[in-house]
Amino acid sequence: MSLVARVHRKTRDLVRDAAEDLLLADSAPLLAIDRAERWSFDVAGGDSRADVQAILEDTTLVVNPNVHRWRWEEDAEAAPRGTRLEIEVHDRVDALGRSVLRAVRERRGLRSVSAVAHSVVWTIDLEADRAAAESLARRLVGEGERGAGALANPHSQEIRWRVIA
Amino acid sequence: MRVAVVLFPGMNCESESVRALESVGLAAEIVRANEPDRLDAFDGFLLPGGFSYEDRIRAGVVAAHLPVMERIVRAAEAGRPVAGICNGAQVLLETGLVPGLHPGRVEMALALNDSGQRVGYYCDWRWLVGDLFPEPMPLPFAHAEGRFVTRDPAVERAIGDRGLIAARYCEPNGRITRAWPVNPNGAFDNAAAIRNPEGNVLAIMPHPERANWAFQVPVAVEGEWREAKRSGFRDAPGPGRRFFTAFADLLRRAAA
Repeated sequence: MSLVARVHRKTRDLVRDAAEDLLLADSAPLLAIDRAERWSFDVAGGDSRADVQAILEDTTLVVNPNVHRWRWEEDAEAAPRGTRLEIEVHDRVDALGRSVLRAVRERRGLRSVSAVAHSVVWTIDLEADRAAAESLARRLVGEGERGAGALANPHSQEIRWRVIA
Repeated sequence: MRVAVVLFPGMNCESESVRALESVGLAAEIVRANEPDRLDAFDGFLLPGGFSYEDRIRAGVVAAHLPVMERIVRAAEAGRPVAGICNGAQVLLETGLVPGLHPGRVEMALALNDSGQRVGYYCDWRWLVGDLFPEPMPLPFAHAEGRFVTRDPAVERAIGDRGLIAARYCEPNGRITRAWPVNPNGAFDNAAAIRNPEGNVLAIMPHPERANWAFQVPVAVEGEWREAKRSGFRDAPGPGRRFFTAFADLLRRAAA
């Protein structure tokens, strides 16, 4: 089974701030923007959820409790304001996922974990209709002319996006 | 000839870049990214290395979206020379100036190093050869995201067909072999530097400004450069000087 956690910064997230600045400079009809790291764990066997929770809470591999807070992906998130756009960006070379997998298997001995994947999820609330949100999404992930690609570069990253009306 | 070394917050190679430009007879000046109105007075531009905006979101992208880059794009389109070293190269790719086959479109990325042997940050010296360095030259590099990649096979083909790779990682004898450690980051076709078709914009990942004098060459680099270092003349040029000489020639041709 696959278990997914979203990790946010407790402290000010300067990467999120940089993205907000770029979107506002680009005249995007922005209401709110949020950035989370998404960690997906493929786990087999008995108490998978407890194993992953232990990785998240008993080690600092993924979550540093001084800096981060985390939740299961399926747990409720803040309600959308306006039209919500969600963009997930995954580096084709997932160095963080590989490193965490090696650490949990070889150093923590959690052989039940067979894969770890890391990506970044941008949740963007817009004062815009669906068509405008889709157009902005394509621009933010690098489809288009100069000024495109603020949040992702399709030449080195896998991108998924969806509009939640 | 006047060159602006365009400084974004977090870049950290501006002073040595100015010195290297001055060593080939150019007048170089640091211009901050929030002073775009000053740029019109310069004949060419160099974007130095470092970590602009702490590599937030991804290396080079925040700088690439700032208004100052619009000025540099317009200057480049008018034929003025622009070079980017390391983080400066990342900015040029994210701006769409390199390779510049379809101006304005981002056609490549400088992705996380992945040579099959090593992933991520890596710092060492490697030999380069190509139009920019007709004789193999050792240069230092220091980057985590230095792997030229494109998802578009047509772009990769066009770069090869049009000879846009200005320097490739090679063995000390100039032979190009793909495997690590010769190619330190897994870049396609061993690309270490790529230019636009007009030839006035160049992105290079190694740091020529850190090898502009022979004394900067470490003793671990074998051959004539180590001997030059041992010659004891502190002003003896190093292997990186060739890059700045070529840039100065480009500026003079552009102005002619």
